Amino acid sequence: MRKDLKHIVITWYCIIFYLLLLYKWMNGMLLYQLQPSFFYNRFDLLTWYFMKTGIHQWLLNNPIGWALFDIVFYTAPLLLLLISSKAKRWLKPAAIVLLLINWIYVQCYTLYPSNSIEGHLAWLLFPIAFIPSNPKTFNLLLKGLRYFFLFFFASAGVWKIIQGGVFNINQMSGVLLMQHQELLTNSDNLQTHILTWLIQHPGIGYSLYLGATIIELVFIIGFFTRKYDRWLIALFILFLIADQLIMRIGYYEVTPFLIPLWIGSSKKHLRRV
Amino acid sequence: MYLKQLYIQHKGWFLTVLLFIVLQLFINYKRGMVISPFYHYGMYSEVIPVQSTYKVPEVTVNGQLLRTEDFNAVQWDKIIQPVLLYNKQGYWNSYLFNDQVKRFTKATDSTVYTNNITPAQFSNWYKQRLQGILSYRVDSVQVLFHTFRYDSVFTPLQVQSLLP
Repeated sequence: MRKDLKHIVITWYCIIFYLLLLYKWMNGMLLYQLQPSFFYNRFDLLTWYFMKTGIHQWLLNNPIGWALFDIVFYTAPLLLLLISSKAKRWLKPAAIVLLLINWIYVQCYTLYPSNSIEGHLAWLLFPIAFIPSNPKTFNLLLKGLRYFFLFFFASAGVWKIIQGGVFNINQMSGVLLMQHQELLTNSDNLQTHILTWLIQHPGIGYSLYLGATIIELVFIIGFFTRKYDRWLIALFILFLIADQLIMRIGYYEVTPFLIPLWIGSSKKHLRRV
Repeated sequence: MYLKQLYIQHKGWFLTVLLFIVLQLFINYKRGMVISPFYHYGMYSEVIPVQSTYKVPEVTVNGQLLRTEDFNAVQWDKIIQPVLLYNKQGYWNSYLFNDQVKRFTKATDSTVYTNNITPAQFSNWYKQRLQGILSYRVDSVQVLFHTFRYDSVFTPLQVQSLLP
């Protein structure tokens, strides 16, 4: 039987989600492994209202709470997938529950020394697209996620122009020194030699920064045509690899946004709608 | 075109998406405070000059300085992030509560906005965390903030202790 587009998207959402679960578990990044004992507030109005519930504080030094949160958060997508294939009429309430679970977990998780909330946007936004029952509405919300991802990247490039980073020839030297100060002062390996070389050759370092800015700005093209979506996927993967190798930043939590880009570029998938 | 399609398809979702776009653009225009899930994506976009000094955290376990190169990026973040955030959380959380949270949310009780972890509790917790990452018994931990002068090379200047 031919599966509908929503089921395909939920399946890919789950595949990426569980690959990331494996990655986080191996790196000790689940809540029960992080074992938070304090939190660090952020400049976010919604977070301040959320904090009024005291959930983030209840979780501190609370092994049962960590296990409960991890189990619920990491089981929910699997349940959504099961409902999507076996009990479609429950899909709307299941998506709403998933949305709620993701919001509560991500709000708490990112208040502890872990990762930024911006990196977890996919888990905050995707469940919204799963809510409508009508396939056409779902497809339009999926398109909305694609536009959001384009904005996410393109605005990062625009910020570099507005804030002036891209006009500073020493920018990458400053960035690398700020990002790698521990590595540069306590280690001595190939990576430190490459970084030191880049810092001491600001022109070459700057060309990397400029290259990253251009890649980000290229995403603007996606607002006008879907023709280059596969190229944008390739650029995004290149960006992720470079971020890992040069900046030691693993921005993998945003990979679910590849789904709407991929669907947007696939005629086969679009015919399903 | 997209919004028109959505308007024809479903007025409620059209309004939701329209509101999302407006708030996202507003947050970007205003800068400063964000409202989840509307953020700025301007990391490293401001001018970042090469500084003349850098204050670098150092973690020494059982008398041995931990070296970044011995850990992957995630592991190293798990070692350093708690130190950096613990060092700032007292001031930062109080500042946010008194200057911002109270003003915007009318909250009066600071309990859920500030930590009550003591240095001794943090020290014990941090030892356990390091033990989990290092996979060997952690008997002693020392955390320092080492100031370096930077002039093409790093020259150690002064040291400030966080733990013990």
